[in-house]
Amino acid sequence: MSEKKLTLPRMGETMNEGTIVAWLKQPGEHFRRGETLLEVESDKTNVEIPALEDGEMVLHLALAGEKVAVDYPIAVVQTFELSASSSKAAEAQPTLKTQVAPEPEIPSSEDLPLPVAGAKIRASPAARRTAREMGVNLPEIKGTGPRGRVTGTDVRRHATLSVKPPRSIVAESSGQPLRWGTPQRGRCILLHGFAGDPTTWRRTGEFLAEQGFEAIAFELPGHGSPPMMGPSLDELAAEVISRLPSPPNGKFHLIGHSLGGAFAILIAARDPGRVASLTLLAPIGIGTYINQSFLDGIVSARTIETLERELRKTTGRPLSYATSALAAMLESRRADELKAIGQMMALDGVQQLFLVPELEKITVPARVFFGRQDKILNWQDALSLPGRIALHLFDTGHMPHWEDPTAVLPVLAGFPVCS
Amino acid sequence: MIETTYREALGLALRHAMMEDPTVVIIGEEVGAYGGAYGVTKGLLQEFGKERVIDSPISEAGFVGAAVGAAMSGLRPVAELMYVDFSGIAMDQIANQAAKIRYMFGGQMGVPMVLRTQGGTGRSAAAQHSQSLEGWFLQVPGLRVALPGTVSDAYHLLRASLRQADPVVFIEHKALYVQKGKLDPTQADANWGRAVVRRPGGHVTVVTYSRMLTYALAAAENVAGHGVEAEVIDLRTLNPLDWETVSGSVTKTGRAIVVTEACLTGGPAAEISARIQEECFDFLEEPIVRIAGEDVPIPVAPALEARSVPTVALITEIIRKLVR
Amino acid sequence: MRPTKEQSLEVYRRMRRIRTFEERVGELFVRQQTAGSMLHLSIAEEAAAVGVTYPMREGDSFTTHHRGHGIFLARGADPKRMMAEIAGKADGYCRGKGGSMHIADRTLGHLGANAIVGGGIPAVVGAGLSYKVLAKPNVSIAFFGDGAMQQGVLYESMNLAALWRLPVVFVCVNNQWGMGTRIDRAAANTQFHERARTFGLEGHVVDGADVFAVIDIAERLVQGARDGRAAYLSVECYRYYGHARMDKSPYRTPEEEAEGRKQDPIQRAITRLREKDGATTGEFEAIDAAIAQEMDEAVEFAINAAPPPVTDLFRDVYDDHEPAPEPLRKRLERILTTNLTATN
Repeated sequence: MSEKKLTLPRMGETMNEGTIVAWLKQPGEHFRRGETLLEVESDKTNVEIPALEDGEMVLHLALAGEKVAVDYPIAVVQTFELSASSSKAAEAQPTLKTQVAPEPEIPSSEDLPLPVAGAKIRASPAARRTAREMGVNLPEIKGTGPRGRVTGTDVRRHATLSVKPPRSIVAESSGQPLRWGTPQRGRCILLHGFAGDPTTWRRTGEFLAEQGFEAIAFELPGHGSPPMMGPSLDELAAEVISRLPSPPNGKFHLIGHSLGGAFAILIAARDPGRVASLTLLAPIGIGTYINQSFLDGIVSARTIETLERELRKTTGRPLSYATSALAAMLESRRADELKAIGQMMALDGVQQLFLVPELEKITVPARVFFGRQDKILNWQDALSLPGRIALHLFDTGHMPHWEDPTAVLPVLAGFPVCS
Repeated sequence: MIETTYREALGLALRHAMMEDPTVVIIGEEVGAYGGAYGVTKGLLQEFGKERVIDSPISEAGFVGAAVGAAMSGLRPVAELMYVDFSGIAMDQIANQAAKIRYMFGGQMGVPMVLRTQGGTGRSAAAQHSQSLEGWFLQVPGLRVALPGTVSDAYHLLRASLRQADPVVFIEHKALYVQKGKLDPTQADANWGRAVVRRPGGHVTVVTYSRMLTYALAAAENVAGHGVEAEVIDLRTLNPLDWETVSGSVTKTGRAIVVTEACLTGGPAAEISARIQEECFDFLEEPIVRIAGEDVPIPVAPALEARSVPTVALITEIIRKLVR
Repeated sequence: MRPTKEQSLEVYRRMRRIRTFEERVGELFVRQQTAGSMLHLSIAEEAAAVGVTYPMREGDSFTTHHRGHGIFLARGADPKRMMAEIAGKADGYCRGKGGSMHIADRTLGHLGANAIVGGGIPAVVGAGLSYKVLAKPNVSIAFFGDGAMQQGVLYESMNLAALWRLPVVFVCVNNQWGMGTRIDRAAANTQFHERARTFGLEGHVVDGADVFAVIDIAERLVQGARDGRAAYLSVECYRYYGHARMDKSPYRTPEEEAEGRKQDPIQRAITRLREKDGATTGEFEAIDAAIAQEMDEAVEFAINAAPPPVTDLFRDVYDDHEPAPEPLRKRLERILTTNLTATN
């Protein structure tokens, strides 16, 4: 490991200085070779600057918006030990040098006037929609389409590079649990699914709050800001338990979706004294089939488009996602950890967790919710669960509480009681 | 799975339907002794007799109207109109009678008939025997419109048409009769009314049907060599129109090309494009482009005929221009 | 036919029902209770309707032209549901979707009144074909006006019926006028039955003022059709009123109208019943009074019946099991709202 200063590379013969448009890697964040670290605007174009080796961002020396001279230090990075074969390459390029990211060919772009605010802007309908959703000003964007037309891709690139996702999303995915309501009738713990985040519980949380419950949605390990590399799902479950609050009355209703369902089973099995009831929404761990291409797709998604395509599989009907939310999801996710968790969950389309024995031991009232159009898991697997576990079926895909809250949430809020 | 031709698949569909359902009869010009102008009904007269394979004189309004009456009275007739160009002669029976009977009479009775006909260029049949008139029928609520573009669909779409409760105008393409392909009579590519993505791709959506499917697929293959992945959608039926498949694809690609052999102005491509514009506007990166037949009658000279409708080269070029 | 007095009175009753129905429909129109602007009365054509349908049996079918109220009544239609249909009400035969010109009833074999001149004729060829293929002992009859005599589809149909030896009868209710055009201005040869003969059909003409003569010839032709001999019949009558209700027929001379209106099949039947069967004024009055009450009730029923629900607009375009067309407003709302906001 060695600490290095990163300097502003020269990205063209005429370039003497550049403006930092945005940092894509924040201090503390790891990066892999090839990942974009920052975007710089030179006298002609915006350029993405990739990392030339694996490492960690330590400190930004120049902030977004600052104009910096070529070869001026802009950041401190820590690079990891390299294997013998690549160390030579690293030596040859000890610091990040000028390597201009390939830009799409823009025909005679120099002749194109930059759009002026107030003037008619040539932008595709998709670009306009994306700009609207992401709160981006179209005139700020230089179009790469025909005759300088701003394309949807231009807007997304611009937004990911220069605009932080809306505040609410950042706050909610910063590792802090989301909370709704007060515990008049009890407390509910909500555990989201694989690659999800606490915001997927928003409707559920609001509904439970209206019903007099306090609802707390946790971020699962490996899904957000607190870096966490647990060696096994069991240990991850222990980690979740350690983060749970210790309410005065001691008990809470535990609600888990998908992977969160598996956590919920493990928690209820290990710490039954604190669980008032167990509700599993399309849980992992009770059957064998899982849609492997979805898992792989989620893990490997690098762009908004691929992420959206994969997320569409979770629902029983076509749904659109806000681009900003997708961007935030992409930004906050930790691909390596997701991949590790994904590998623990499934191999070649077969679930690697079988928690039915645990479930059989659990004595708290338990129920399972499934959507009959679930394309990720087989809802029929729930039919072979012990008879005392109630099964509720809905006309939804993999996210019943999210797709059809009107039908699902009232049932959800009717928690079973111990007889 | 068998290897067969479009023509034979159609004949097989008729034969199977007649074996299964004794009320299926065929009425039309030269359908019996001659075996069909394009040979589709060959052998059916011998197998099913002249009570069920009924040769009509040249009398399009008469026999199409008779098929309407037969459909209202317990039979499931297949009327064969030798060329879609002749539909003008029978149009009152198609558009004012067959299409409207269920509605006008408050749902008491329907007209479960299939009007088999064929159209399109490719055989130098000239102006009165080469048109693509599916747009005429799209303007008449109550008519279903099916246009098979593959051997499998020649069989399965015809079988499905013969299960519809409403009149189906079934338009074959004369240039496809000799096309070979695979057919599994037990397995259709999709249900009635669903489009099929014949080639997946993420850069541009090409919406088409009938013979232009073959052209669009060839163009998609051409551009694939240049790193452009065109998604080719075969609509199969224009009524019903599988809108979900089209909008799902255009929403994904942001680019749409509609290819029809029917001429441009006021044609089916205009309707499909308008819908894409209305329903996918926010996802469009480029203008929707129609590649359609020229607004001219079809000339007989092969060199002119071939240029009166879209070519693979043109579709290829436009895809490449649209995806830069 | 040598009818008994009871049979003759029944024939009279059927004709009177048609006459009274048409008069009441006219009133309905004047009271602005009809749905359509199109209303074509068959007054003075009752003998064609009652006479030709006389030998028809259950399972037989027919189509009519747009002046077909009488024919349907003669085949047993319920005047309440007919009147309701003419008024565009949900209780009408076609749920208020067809109106005067498109009444149909499958159970009574009515394959539909048609507003395209000649449009409904080939359907009886198809129905006849069905009976032949399915070996049913039924007959199908096309009723049309003299206007259809110049339409090509009639001759295509005649040819097919004769060629395929179908149980079909073509009946021209020749009231001499196609809208404002008298037949001698529409055809050089107005002996229409001669045309039918050239196709190989039995072709006949009968006096439409004499219902018993119509019954006689109809019985013969319908039986012949059941045996596979398609036939044609012209029933000569006179259109009492204008083409449609609002038409005062200024194109006809008062002299011609006065002469034409003497050919009243009901008056002829009354005279015959009085002279041959000794029917009394009291007997006619009793029948007429019952019919008047029936038709008054039909008018009241139609006026009080509910209009079809607006949702019916999209119903029955296709079979019930198929999705109905998407209403435009719904579509526009979907496009202008849902489609423009892509959020979760």
